[in-house]
Amino acid sequence: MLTKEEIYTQYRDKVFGYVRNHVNSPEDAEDITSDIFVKIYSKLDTYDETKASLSTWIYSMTSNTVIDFYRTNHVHSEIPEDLSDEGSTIEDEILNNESLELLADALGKLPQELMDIIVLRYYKGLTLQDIAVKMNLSYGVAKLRHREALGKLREML
Amino acid sequence: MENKLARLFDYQKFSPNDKLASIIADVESRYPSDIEVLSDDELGMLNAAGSVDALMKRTAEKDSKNSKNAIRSKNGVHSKNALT
Repeated sequence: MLTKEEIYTQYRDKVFGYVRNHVNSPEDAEDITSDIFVKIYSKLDTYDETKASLSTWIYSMTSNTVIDFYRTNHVHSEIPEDLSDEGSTIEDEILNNESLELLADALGKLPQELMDIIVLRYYKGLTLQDIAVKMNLSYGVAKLRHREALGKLREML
Repeated sequence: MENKLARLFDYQKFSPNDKLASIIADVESRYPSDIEVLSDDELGMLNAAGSVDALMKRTAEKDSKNSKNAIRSKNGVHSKNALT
């Protein structure tokens, strides 16, 4: 098990980079990052390595703190879509490098158009309407391709 | 499936996987962002630059008016501005 200092050294940049990705103000990002490490340190004795890796546990705490920031300071609708999955817990998801590798492999097997739709939708957070404009497709076709891509990924993941 | 993808891509922002990063970069290169989102700091600088610009414009207009008035008064023509 890592010491608090080791956790800080190993995860500080990851946590700050993630927060900065979701929050515009650098000052807010700094404050949130500090809050996250306070939480990590205070809950470290509750961490169960049989349930999740340390990285996943810290990620979960980080994303929840960003959601809390939006809930406290902004209207609910401003919570980034990729963070608004309220029901999920780290126990029912496998988030690690291997699962990202599997996703990369699955995306690599999709036709380019379908792969583009998935990345633009779920990584860039664009709406299907915006994707249709960007890719020069009608909204109806973008919707169909999106559904097709989800179906193929469901079979592979 | 949609939630799973959203969560995986979000985790990628926390702990990037190289293979996935290269796929994302590939897609991004085909669809560059139209609009760059400015940070609060950058917006602050933009505002400051805007103010300086506006001030310089006003100063230049004032200088130009003053020099026109100076020429007119030299030629014996008095404008309303020159008298005030």
